[in-house]
Amino acid sequence: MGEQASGGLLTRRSSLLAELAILLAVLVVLGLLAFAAQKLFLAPRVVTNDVSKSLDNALGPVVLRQVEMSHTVLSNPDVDAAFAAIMDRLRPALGQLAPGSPKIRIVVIDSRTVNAFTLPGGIICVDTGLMRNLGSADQMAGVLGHELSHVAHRDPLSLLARQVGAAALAGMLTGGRGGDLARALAQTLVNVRYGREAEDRADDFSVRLLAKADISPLAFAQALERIRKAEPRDASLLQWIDSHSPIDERIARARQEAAGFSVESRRINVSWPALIRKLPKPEE
Amino acid sequence: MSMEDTVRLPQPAEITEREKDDAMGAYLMMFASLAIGLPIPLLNLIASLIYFLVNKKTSPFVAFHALQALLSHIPVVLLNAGAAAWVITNLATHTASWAGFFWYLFFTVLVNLTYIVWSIVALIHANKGRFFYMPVFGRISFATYYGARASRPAREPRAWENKPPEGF
Repeated sequence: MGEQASGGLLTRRSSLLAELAILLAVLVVLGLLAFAAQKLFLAPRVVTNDVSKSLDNALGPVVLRQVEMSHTVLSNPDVDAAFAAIMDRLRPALGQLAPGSPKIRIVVIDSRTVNAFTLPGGIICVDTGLMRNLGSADQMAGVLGHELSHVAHRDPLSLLARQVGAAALAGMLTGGRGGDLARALAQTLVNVRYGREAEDRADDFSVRLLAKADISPLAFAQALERIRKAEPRDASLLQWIDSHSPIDERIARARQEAAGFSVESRRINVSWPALIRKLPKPEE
Repeated sequence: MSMEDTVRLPQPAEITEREKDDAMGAYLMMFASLAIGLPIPLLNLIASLIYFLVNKKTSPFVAFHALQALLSHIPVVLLNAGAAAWVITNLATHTASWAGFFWYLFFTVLVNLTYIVWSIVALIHANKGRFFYMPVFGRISFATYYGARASRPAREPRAWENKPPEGF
């Protein structure tokens, strides 16, 4: 015969609470597992694709306005024609390598800084300081190819999303203290390096893009070499190759990568030295 | 409370094959309705409810297992319904958000898998004429059909012996 039971569902609450705690713990563990799986397999794509192209497109002009306020934008028909010729060659190849890339807009900034950077929404800014240090339109195409990878992979938006969060971006687009934030974002994007992985991907992308566009794939490595040799009086101006980045390694990689392509290359029909002579004199 | 008021739990040998089959059927029913009703998760909850209402009269042992199966099914069905609703509203309106969706989806899949494993364990026990208590759901089901009147065996059983959850 059994002994008398002493409790029930409500009289022994502690047992019920213990079981509830077990269930809750199981759910929390499953939730964390799901979070980890989601981070591991999907997070980067979710950020870049789901934060959406419209945000990308809306953000670009806002940040560009900020850049225009703090830098001198060069308006020169010869320069515009040269970049149009380069982009005419790159555009079909870009369409093949990265379908769905946004319309590209190139903004030339009159500055001694050796730099080029990408803003959200397909806006690429190039400093005249960088242009002066390159030897040909093909090399310029190599640098643009690197930046086009940032455009195609939406690196600026991913970076901003990581740094300030989607909430701040949304707030900025809907008003509020947008001005201050836009200034901070512009500053971030002008000096940014996206991290080793994105930069290596951009270097590889550039070489492949050049080959696809029937431009010598070596042009990118040559551009890197010209920039390394630039040695401006003020080293802080050499922004496009951050002093900590292993430039020699990048050059070797770009050369090795280029060796894998056999391309019957056609030079871009732009006289680069003549174009450089037409640029305004750099301010001392 | 006198000894006459207590209820002795039936031991596996005393439970008929029919009862064992019906108790096991409750969990099988959940699996079947889960598989068939995936697009409309709330409908399979109704199917589960009907199975429970029909079979609870067979015996308290069957009713206990049917109720436990039904109760443990409810949160899973709600999670699945949430996922389905999320997909449908997003596809229909194009304005809703996918933010967090994949976390929710993975979470739902993991909960479903856990639920299925737990139910298989319960199903095997039911088929052998045993009481098996899932956390919380087992306790509530037991309280509904046996409750505090159930007696606890005095000695530690040599083999499996059905007994109330801890605390009863």
